[in-house]
Amino acid sequence: MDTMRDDQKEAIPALGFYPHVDISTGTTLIAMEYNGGVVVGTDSRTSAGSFITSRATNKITPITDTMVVCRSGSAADTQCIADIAKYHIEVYTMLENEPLTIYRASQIFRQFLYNYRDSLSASVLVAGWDAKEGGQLYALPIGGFVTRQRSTASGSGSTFVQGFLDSQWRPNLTLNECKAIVKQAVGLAVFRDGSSGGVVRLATIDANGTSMELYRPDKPGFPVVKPPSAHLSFPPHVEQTPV
Amino acid sequence: MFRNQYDSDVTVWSPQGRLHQVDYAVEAMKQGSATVGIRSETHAVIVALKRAQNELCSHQKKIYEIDTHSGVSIAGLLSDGRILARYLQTECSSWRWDYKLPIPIKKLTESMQLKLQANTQYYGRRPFGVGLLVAGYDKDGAHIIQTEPSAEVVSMKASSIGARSQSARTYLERNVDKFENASADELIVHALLALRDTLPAEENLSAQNTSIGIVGKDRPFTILADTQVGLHLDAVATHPRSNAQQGHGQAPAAAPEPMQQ
Amino acid sequence: MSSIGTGYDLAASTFSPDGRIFQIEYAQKAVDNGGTMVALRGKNGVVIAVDKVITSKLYIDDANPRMFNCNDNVGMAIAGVYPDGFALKDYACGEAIKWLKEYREPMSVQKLATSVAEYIHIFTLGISRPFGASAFFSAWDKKKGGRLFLVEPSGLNYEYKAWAVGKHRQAAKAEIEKLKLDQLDVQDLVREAARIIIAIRDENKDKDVQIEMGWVGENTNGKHEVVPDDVLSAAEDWANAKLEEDDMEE
Repeated sequence: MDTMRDDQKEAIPALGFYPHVDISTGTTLIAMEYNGGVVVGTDSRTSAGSFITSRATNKITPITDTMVVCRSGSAADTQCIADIAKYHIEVYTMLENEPLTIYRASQIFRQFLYNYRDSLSASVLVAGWDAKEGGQLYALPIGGFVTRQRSTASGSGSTFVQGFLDSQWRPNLTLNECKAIVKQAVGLAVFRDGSSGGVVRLATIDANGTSMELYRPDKPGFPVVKPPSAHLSFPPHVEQTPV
Repeated sequence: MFRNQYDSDVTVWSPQGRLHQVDYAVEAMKQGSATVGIRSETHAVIVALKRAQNELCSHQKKIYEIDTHSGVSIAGLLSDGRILARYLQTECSSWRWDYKLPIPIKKLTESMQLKLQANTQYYGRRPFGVGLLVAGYDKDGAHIIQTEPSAEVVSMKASSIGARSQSARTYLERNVDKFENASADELIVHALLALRDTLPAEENLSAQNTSIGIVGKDRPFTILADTQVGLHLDAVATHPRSNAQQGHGQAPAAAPEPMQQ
Repeated sequence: MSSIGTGYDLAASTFSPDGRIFQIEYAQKAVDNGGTMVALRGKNGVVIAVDKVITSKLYIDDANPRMFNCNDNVGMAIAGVYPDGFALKDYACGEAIKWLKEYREPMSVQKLATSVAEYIHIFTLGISRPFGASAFFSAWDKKKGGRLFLVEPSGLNYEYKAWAVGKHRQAAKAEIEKLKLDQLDVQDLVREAARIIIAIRDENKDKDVQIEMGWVGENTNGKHEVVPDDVLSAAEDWANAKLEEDDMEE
């Protein structure tokens, strides 16, 4: 991710310029609307370069009882924005004396992502449920462009599962169908993406609130990915065990 | 010292719901020498009477170009008027910078109104002691906009403000139906006739004391040269002076203050 | 008036011994002296009508309009001192634009009214003078129906079913109370508003006057508009005929 700014990343001590090093650029975020709510799924890897800083990070941050934000990009930037946006959202809910819509929340996030676009490396998915529009999902890539999506993937892992999601989404999905798709997508992305990994976390948001689930690779329920078995890779005269 | 206790400050309402300081500023406008504006479908004309302090002094400038499509004439405190003319010029040029187009006259005068209004509400300022006639031509046609120190800003078919402008208004109201389809030259004659009505009988319009500005379709705003003013005055001279004027031909009760022109 | 000459009525920052702020009351007077403005909320919309005073016959037609849009949905009608009202309109439009820019959805009528009320209130605290203008805010949508708010020079902001301000407000309110508002649709409101305005005119004093109206309702699909000339003149004709008819009966 973020290959465009490679040339800016040389430190220039004479100018006091030290480039901002991304922590946790590699991420897989999947989200999908279903009939009655929205499901999000993520991996749990945080890395600094090739070093895995944490293997069990929670990238799904609750903002209200019926809204979460999934973070990708710099962990520091996104944590901070989530905190600030949460504060603003709480104040606004109080001042306006009416429940906040997910759309409004996405616009509040937009203001930060846009206004500070030159100094931030942050992209988020805002997912939640409100009485006006039901389950909703807004994607905010770096820069602060807002689009509502029925299904989306972001982070470095997303490239590997875009086609899978396109093939799976259809109108009026049930909760279980939706969860299965999201979990499988995270599994597929994690399998192929070197910078995603760890556990799979799912969150379901509907009228009743948010429920979180965790799937560990060493426990049942973790998405199974079975690529076709490999042919033998050494010349035939070398003795080797079949894979 | 004051006429009543509610007239010392612009931020004080009288018990009747009036603002005396604002009303007094309107009086300042009424002391300045008169100006007349008329518009037709295609042109807007402003004419103004210039005063000179004494014989060694030049006549004060009464008409300013604002942009290629707009000009303004001033009655009241000319130094206040100059500030407002400069304000209008900067508004025009910043609009041109932003949109690469001349500013619509409506937008120009709306921003003018807000500026004038602020000076009737905030402590420590006084209202502008000046009235303006803005002449302009834009996509909506020709416009004459009258502004007052009270921040009343209104679009008019024809208007006159300044000393003894009531006489001019009488002329304008009597002839208002003729303006819509008049030619540019006819408009100028109408405006000059109205302006002449504000003069006492012993005075007359001359190329020195009269200023003419015109703008319209295919005609950028211009302040006419003295020779051209003379030609129009010749046309006006063929019309006899109205008798109505004799009645109040005497000089104003108080001599005008030096600032008021 | 007992306030005059006490010295307690010279600044908005001064309370009188009995706890009043006379400068605000005097500013309200400026609205009370202005042309009558009548606002009615019916079963499917809101209509606001004003009797505009035409000071000079040299004015262009429709000079100094008092009905505005803050955005597509919210109408604003200004009563009282015109330049003050215009400054309020400018503030309200600015707020509506700011809201749209921040949240990418139109500002609601309630929020606009509240925000303008808060702005007006600042001017009642001193230093500056209070606004000599009031503003009605109107809107209609399918879910919440008609909404009508009035913001006063004091900064007070109430929602109304119907109300009147200006010169002949008392007479107008008496007429309004006779109406069965929740049975009237927008077309009826236009006619009744015209009737009330004309009925309460002082025939000797209110000569150079002209009615201006704004409407918002089911018929305009929730968009606030200035009532078109033909609808307005039809309503005035109806009103004049109706008033003549009533006179005959008496």
